[in-house]
Amino acid sequence: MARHKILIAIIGISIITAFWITYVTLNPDQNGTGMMKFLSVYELRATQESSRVRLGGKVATGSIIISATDKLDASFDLAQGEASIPVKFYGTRPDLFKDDAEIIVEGNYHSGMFNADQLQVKCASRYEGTLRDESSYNLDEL
Amino acid sequence: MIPVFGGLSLSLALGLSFIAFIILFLFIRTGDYRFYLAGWRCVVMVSLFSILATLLLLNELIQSNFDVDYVAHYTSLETPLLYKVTALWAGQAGSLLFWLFILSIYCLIVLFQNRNKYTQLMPWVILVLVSIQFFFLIITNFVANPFSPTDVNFIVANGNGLNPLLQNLTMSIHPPTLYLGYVGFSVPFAFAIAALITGDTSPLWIRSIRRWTLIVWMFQSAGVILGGWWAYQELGWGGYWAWDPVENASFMPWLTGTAFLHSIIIQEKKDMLRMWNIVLIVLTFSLCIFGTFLTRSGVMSSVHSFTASNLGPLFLGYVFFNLFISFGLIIYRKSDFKSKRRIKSFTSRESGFLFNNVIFVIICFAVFWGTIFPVISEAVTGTKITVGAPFFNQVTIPIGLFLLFMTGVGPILVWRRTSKQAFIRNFSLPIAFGLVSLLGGIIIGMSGYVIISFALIGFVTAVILEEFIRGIRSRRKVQNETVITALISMVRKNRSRYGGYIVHLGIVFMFVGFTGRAFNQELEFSIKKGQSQKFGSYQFEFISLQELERPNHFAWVAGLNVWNDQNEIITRLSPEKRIYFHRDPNPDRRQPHSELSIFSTVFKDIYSIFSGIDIEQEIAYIKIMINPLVWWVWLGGWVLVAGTLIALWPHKE
Amino acid sequence: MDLFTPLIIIFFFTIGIMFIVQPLIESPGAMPQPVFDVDELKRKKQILYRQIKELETDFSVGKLSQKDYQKSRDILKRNVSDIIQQIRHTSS
Repeated sequence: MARHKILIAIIGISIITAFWITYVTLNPDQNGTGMMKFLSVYELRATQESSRVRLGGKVATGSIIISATDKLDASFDLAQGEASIPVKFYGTRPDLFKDDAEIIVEGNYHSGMFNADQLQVKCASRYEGTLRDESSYNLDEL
Repeated sequence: MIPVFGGLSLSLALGLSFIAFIILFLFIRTGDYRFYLAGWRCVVMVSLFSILATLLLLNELIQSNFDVDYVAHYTSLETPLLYKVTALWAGQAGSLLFWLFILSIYCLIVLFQNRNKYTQLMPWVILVLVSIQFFFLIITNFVANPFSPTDVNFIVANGNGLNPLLQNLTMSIHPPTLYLGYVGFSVPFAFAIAALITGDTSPLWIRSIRRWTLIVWMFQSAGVILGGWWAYQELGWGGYWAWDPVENASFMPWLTGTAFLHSIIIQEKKDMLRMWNIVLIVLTFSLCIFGTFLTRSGVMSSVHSFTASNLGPLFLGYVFFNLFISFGLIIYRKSDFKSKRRIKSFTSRESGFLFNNVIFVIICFAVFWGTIFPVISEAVTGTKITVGAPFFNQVTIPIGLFLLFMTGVGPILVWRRTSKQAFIRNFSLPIAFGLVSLLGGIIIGMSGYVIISFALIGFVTAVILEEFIRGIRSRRKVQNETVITALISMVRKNRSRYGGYIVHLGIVFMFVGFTGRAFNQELEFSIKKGQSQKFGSYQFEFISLQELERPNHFAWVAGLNVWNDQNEIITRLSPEKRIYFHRDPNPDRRQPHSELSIFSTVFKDIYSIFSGIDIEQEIAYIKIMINPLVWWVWLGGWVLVAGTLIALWPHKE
Repeated sequence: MDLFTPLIIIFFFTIGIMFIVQPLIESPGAMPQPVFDVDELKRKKQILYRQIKELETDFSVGKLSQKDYQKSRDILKRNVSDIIQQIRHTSS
């Protein structure tokens, strides 16, 4: 008797939570931060997606402009091959943010400009990079 | 010369582990005890050679022998000694060797502890353990060899150095602690498989690994919490848990491991749930390997995985291989799991533990789902979807709160059946407590989950305290003792029960901290030397800017006086902006790093980040966060460890 | 590579192999008698004793009814006496 009750309760809990997980998956947080499309520069330019997305690419060399009056105010171009998208970002930038860094920004694309409120650098290049640099010497070149 | 020895001992270990297979199979075929002894010794040698290899790599790291590629990649001449040691697990090849190292130490402990015990189980236990070693030996020998030499064309004058993010004291203890937990689940797994193969799924195997599981669980919990602590102190986004795939990777085996920890008590005392326990430990071990896969294969782009590699398929294959064998065995032994005992009542401890198990597994599934969802959606629809922290919070908060509620109900339940009167008597006070905190919350103006959480915190705390008070009272009725001696002797007499309650109290404290997150505030501002900035009830005064040169970096240190609303200085924060490798002639290779400064109190943390600097105008860009109640998370962690230690302390027989 | 290192390697390797092979050369010893059976029973007995103590505490703080207490206690006592018999049987 008790066995059946427990079995029913366990199945009940499992079904309820299964519904709950499905519900949240289908209706993520209202402001769209729970689940976002992750797009490349090409894809975003092609789809002109207006909802909140994450965008990945490389910081175009020499494109970083930091406001003279407020160092937290930055704009730069995010590039993928030939294509690029201008990005505006206000806030603390990660330490590794610089030209050519692979980054991910989060925000909205609106009339040709990406307004980002999150900025992440994809990896710490130096620590997995090749060893060839000033402190190593290639025997052929000596 | 030493790297050659290192590579050689890894190869020898691999060869010997293969021989161990053959010898142990011979023992199982012939039953000749001599084969068992030889196999036993063979595995001892495998373990010793693996340990030797690790020590040799450690030696190379300390000596800065840049002829070894790994050493050149992860250390430099300026790296402090401590971080030269931690470089052992900073990179791919090293961390996999470190896995093997800990497994080998555990293996030796198991081999010597059970030398003449469990004669039925042990051959299979050893076989399973050596098969795990075999897998990691194949990887360290052929896929990610830590001893592989630097490209012959280069003379490396100085290495790359260790990532500044990893140059942190917590980061030097977090990975080993977590690994001690992760890897440790190999042993209960090996016993479970041995029990399955020998067909003896009675509580015997549980008894042999109960204490072991508790120790391993303690390391795992401490490891997960330390990871959060590191992120909080070092990553500078003001939180300790981001639901990053790598964090989830450490959290999922903890969830199933915790479920396992509870359900083996039922099997040990009541001989129920035989099959369930084996399923749980198989899942836990598989999730540990899967976690290493997530961390190391770079399958998810994540702040933690610095590499992409070809390890992915191997690890995933190994996970599936394990699952296939284990579930195959479980199905094969299906008829042996029939236990005569049945759960007698809904309100029994048995059923309480069962529900707690179900909830843990469900949370684990939810986390798993969110973690692999990007991969699934990319495979099915073609667009990559990222799953952020809000998703995980939304899914897990209600289930987590239900679990917190269960933490309160659990202690009241007794084996077989709890009486109705007991429910009324034991719950009236805690429910009152819960209602008071609920009302208090409403008065302060809280809403939503926060208020439910505080109500449950009040409820569970009251239940646990009541347990202690009742225990003391009933002792004092019989023996004439003071409150303190009654408490001590009561805990002593029943360490596992009261230790468990203390662990639960730790969890409650951590929930206090989690709930505090709802009140976080932050502000970013620029400030000139001498100026002040108001934020909330605080005033931040920028009083000094120092330049310092330390052995491996250059630093600007900002001095910030924090004034409260009574015009008193409560503390002085000194966040730093550092440049590592500041002597590197190529400016691109210098690495900036922000070192945080945190003022922590019971009620709130003031968290400061020095994010930018304008040297000529002496302007600093500062980010301040006010994070209430974070302190309770760490307190909860300590209490959890203390409770586990009390439960573990050996009984005087 | 100098001559010394291979010699060291060979030396340690031989010792390792000898260590492993040594039991195979000896005369076939019997399996050690499973003394652990008695130990296992003793541990079982201890666990049961602890359970009885726990049950008594739970009863004294009023968590279970008199009837359930009697029933559980009887079952546990019966199990203990079974095990004590088994221990006597195996050790004699």
